[in-house]
Amino acid sequence: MTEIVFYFFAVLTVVSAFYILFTKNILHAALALIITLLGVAALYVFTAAEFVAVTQIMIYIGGIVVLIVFGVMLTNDMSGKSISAASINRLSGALIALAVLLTLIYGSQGFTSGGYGKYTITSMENLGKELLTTYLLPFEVAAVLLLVALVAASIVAGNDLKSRAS
Amino acid sequence: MIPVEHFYYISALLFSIGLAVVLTRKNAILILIGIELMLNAANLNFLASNKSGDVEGQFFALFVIVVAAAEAAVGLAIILKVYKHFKTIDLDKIAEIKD
Amino acid sequence: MITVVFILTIPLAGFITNILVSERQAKLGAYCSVLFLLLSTLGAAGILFSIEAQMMISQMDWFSVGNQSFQVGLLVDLQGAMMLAVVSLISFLVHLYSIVYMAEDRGYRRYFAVLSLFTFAMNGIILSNNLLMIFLFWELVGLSSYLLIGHWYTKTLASKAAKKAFIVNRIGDAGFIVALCIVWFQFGSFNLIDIQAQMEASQIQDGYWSSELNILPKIWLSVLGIGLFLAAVGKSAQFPLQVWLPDAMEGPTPVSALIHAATMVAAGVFLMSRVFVLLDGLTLFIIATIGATTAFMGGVAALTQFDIKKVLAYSTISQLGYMLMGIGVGSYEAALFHLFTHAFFKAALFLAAGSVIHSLHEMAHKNHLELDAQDMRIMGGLKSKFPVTFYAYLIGSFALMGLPLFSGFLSKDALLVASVNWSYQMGEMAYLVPLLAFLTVLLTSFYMVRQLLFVFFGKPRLENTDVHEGGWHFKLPLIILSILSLGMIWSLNPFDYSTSWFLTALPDKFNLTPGFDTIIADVTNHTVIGLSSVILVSVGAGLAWLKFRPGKKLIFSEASKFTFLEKVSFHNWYLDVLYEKTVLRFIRVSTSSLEVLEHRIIDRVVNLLGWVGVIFSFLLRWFDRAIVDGLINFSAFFSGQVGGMTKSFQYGKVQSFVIFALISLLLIIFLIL
Repeated sequence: MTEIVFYFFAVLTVVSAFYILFTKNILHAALALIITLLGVAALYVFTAAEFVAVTQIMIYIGGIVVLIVFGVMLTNDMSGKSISAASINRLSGALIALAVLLTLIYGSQGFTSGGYGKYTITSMENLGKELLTTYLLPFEVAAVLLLVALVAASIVAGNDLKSRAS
Repeated sequence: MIPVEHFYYISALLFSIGLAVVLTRKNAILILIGIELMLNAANLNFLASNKSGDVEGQFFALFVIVVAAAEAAVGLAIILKVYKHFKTIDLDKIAEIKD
Repeated sequence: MITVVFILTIPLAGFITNILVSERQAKLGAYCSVLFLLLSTLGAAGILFSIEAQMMISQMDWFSVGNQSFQVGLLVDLQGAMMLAVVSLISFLVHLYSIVYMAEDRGYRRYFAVLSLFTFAMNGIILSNNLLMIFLFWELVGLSSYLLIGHWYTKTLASKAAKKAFIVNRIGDAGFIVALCIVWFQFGSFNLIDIQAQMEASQIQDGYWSSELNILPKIWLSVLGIGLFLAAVGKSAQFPLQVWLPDAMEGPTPVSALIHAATMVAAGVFLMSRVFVLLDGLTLFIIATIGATTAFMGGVAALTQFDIKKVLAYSTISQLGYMLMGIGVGSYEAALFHLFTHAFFKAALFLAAGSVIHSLHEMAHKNHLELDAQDMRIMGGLKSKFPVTFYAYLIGSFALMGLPLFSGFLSKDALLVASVNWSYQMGEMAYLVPLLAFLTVLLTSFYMVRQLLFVFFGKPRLENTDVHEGGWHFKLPLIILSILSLGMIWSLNPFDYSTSWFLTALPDKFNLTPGFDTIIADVTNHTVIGLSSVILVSVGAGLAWLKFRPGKKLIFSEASKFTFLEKVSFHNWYLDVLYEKTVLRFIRVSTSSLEVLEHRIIDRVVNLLGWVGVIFSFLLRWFDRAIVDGLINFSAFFSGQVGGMTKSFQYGKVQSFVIFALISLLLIIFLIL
């Protein structure tokens, strides 16, 4: 049973990722991204990482995809052409991607130990304690990083003071 | 029992698809989406190779998600600025660094 | 337990409500606060009647640093419950009073928000079970006091007074922090119960103070006590930090009643009673001396003031001095008792003064008169215009003077008896403390009678007497507070404090600090002390009557034409001038000398370094031009050539760069594999 669910989500993830690759419509691509991310979140659960899965859903789907959709809407003329995007370098891009895929699969042959069968639950309490003790420094650095990113984003995207003054 | 290498295969596939998106699409936002796919593939690898009962891999994944969020915000801000300046986000047409 | 948390947090709800409501619904927010405070008062009363001296404690982990963990927790005992009831009730009445008093004010919401915040913080101080939390709430109280003093921040005087109060309080808080450090070092815990148990178990031998954790020289125990006392000196406006309280009267009058008379300034006394076990002999002696000195100085300063609120402010300082003297002579229960009685009658006095000020202000506003509504020289004969206010003021004054049948008599008597007992025990110069205390009784009755005569008796000194008393918002708080200032409320026998229900319900005394365990014996005749204080009150009142009696022509000389003694009193012993001349001048002189140092020496060194740098850089320039630039130009030229060769497959397309990079990466990987 677990296997069936796993492979269902695996196929869902990969198929919707392919859809992103081939679709002409950016909005469709953004929607397919949601499905891919959901699928990946489900796969996270199989690695006994529910917290990361929930975080993935909240941050990616709740935050990043919304940002991307906003970006799509803000960068397209609503009046004119349909929202679409063409491709370039098709042949060379596909070749390179295929080469990378083969390399990765070849490289992962070495690590075949173990597997995930039983549905285990990581203790959230343990996770929280570790986060605020062993990983306190990266945690704080991440906080500063987010702040800096937020400020930077608003400064970069916002109106220049100069242009507003004039 | 799901063998751990199946996770690696899915992650490799996702990574390559993301890479293909980055390489072949012209729209800057789509390239951002491709980068997100690649980050997700890396995350899946971290979690799959996490020893059971350990949380190290989970923390890697969590911090990657945080950085991805920051990256998406700044990236989109830059794209908006580019759009304001060039009136397009087609990377083909933005080739001012040529000379 | 739930009730306690509820009482603690519901003023916070008032704060949040007042922040969130819109400008048009400001009244609604205010009424919400009043309702919340009413609930809190009822809860506090419930706790007070059900407590029976047992303690309710609950705590949980807050945070931990390394393997030291810190707890948050609540502690309710009889004095805490009593204090809680006093704070909630007075705060409720003041909120109610302020609805009308502040009705015309533009900062209506801000006022009520901060007032609720203050009540929350004050409840926090009372209910916290550890010193760290008390310290946090202590600071929050200081903040809200600062905000309320500076409520009319557009007035320079008000914002200056707020800053002064805050900075002076910081001096005391420094002592608190030092004390916290010592407590943590010695006991490894901030919990009050823990501290008490460990302190009782600790020993003082051969000049060393040893607890379970640590051994320190004995002097650190005194430093600890003095640090805590310094905190109380700042907050409770004791000598030498009392200068902020008179200035704090720039805030709205209900604020003065709640914060700067009844509750916050008493927090210092409350803190002292909480940490009483940590105070050793030397500290107690210092506390007693400073308390008595402050009581006397405040009394003297109140003698010549013309501002109705300033008189009350100085009398507050004086009464707080009494309370701390009570702590110092080892009778913390008498000090607490005086705290509670004082809270009610002083709040009554302030609110009554506020009623007069408000009406006069309104009248002046209506008739476009330029007058200072707080100046007693323009009042007089207001007895018939303000009947309820007058009787509230009368009862409050009698309680403050310590006339029998009023609450102040009981608590003041308890303090006087304790101080006399103490001076017998200590001998030598210690009798100065009760002497100052008795002198202050005389001063108190003099200035209170003087104020009563100025404000309410005699002929009206205002031409236009179109003033009238406020509505029930003003009268109800006054009536409740004056009833609570009567002696019967506190003790069935209004002539004997020892039958008071508060003192009999208190559990046995804390053990005193080890090494100071002589319990002070009761050696005095209570009747003699009671009688002599009544005689002193009558003498003071009589003197005031002779000097300012109705019908006698009063000549108000300008402050500049005062005699020397009057000037000393009017200017609060010239403490402000003293600080201006010493502390502030020291700071100014040191900053200006630092500036000179900076100009003369540091700048010159910097300039010299600059010159060396300039010479060195000339040398470098030559080197740069001839050799470095040559290299760089060459490399730029070289890379330009290479770029020219390779630019054909770039065309500025980012994705193409990526493809090339990936190809090289893959090649490298294949090579390695």
